Amino acid sequence: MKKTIDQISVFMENRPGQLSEILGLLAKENINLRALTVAEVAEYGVLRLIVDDPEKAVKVLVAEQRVAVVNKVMAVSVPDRPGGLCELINMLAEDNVDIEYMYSVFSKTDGRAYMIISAKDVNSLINSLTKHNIDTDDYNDMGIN
Amino acid sequence: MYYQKEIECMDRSRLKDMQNEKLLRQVRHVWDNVPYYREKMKASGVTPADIKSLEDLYKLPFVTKDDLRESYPYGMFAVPLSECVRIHSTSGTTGRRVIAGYTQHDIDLWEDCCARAIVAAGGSREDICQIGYGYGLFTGGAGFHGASHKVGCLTIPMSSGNTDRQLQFMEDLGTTFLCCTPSYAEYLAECINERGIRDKLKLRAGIFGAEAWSESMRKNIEESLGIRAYDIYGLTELSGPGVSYECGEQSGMHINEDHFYAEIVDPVTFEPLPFGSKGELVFTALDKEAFPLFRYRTKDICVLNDEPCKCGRTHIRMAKPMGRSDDMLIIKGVNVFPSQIEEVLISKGYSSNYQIVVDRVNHSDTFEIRVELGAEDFAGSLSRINELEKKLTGDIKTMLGIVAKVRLVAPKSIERSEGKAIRVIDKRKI
Repeated sequence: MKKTIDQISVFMENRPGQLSEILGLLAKENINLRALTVAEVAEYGVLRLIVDDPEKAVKVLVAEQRVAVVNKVMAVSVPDRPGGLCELINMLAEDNVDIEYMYSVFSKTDGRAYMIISAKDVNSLINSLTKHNIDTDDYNDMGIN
Repeated sequence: MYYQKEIECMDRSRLKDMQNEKLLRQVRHVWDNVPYYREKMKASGVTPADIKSLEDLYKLPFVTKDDLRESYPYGMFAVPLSECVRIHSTSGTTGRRVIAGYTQHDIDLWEDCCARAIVAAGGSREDICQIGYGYGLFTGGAGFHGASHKVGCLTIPMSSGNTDRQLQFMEDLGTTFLCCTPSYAEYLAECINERGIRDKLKLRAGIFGAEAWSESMRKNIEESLGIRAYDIYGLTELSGPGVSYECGEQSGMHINEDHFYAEIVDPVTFEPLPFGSKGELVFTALDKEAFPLFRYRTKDICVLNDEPCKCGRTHIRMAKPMGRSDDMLIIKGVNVFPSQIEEVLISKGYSSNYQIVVDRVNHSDTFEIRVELGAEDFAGSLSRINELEKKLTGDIKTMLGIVAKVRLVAPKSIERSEGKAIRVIDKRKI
């Protein structure tokens, strides 16, 4: 069975200082960031983080009146050649996997690229990856811990 | 020009006789037919025999919005429903929504009142009258529509919105008389001048009500459209627009005293105050059949003026309302109570921590509601927040009838002053 990994999503208002406050809270508690992306619309944004201790990170943020939740996402390593990502995405599209969002991470340990993928229905993503025998990665593969 | 000169210019002592006669009949009518108010009278130790003239009016208990809530929907009706021909309603849920009933007689007197306003503003059967108030449960469209017919104007029942069509009709059909909210009039004026079509229009006057406006707005509308702009006052509880209206002097609104008796009371002690004092405006409907209210507290802060008017009308005048003794807001011409918004939020599982921000941009009210997002509502995706906002926008539209921009914000981010959240920020400079 392919494993999902935990990603933290934090609601942010679109104003100066928001990101700095949130990252400050995590730094103070010794939480290490592995990947980060920010999605935004006009007035607010969502900060998405892969960290070494997601459970603790959510606890820290919620204690400080932040809206933060854990989402299940998949980390998929992408073949390092032209068209590598394209093949993966084509395959998911053929299997009707509805991708909500994705972003990439580069691992400093093995130099590989990983895609963090969030699907509307995480099981459809797992099934498609399993069917096509695609490698998925856990924290260890990504050089966390 | 007058619509009903014999009434509008009636000698004051004859007017008083007429009012007294109507009052006595009305007290008996309500006592006999409205158990809810009869009980209120009994509780105050008053019977119809105690009311011999207007001098005794102060003995009658007030009617408030709470009474209308308790008697919702038909508890204040004084005639069988078979006698009623229409209802109108304000926005809101059961608690806040007013259901006003009308017999044909009530519709006639209401339309007469509005017709007096149109004629006082210079309207006649020669006019082409474009009605840009909303049609439907709101009284604005229906009141002016009927009145425009009575005066004999060619009536264009445009309803509100759709500016392009409003302007096209105005230009093609030669509209001379316009009825809509003052903020919409300002907006139309701006569009007309931007498009350079002012010279093609035949507009010469308009009546603009249903929301607060200032002398500077009047000046702006009059200058930018080259017309005379008149004010009008009313409320659904009493019939609709036309409880009072401006004459050519544009110096206060004449109250239609043959139908509506006005008092000013101290908003704290409820003691009646003399002419010229500032206080809460209270109305008694003297001869409405279906929905006759005694001493209805409007919550509008106002001043009455009994000095004779140069126009020849003998009915007293009221100033523009100067504010409210409750927290009601008028946004886009619609009455909005913060508690209505609170009700929606709580029923949908949101925190009751919210903030209403009202402003006026390009002559039109903007209405934003900031709501603190709960952790349980946030599933981590932007589309989910967008979905929540859309849903809440829909729920609020169902409650109020107007669209608010709903903005979800971080918990505890709404400003508080001395522990108390600031619920309303009204930035409008009227």
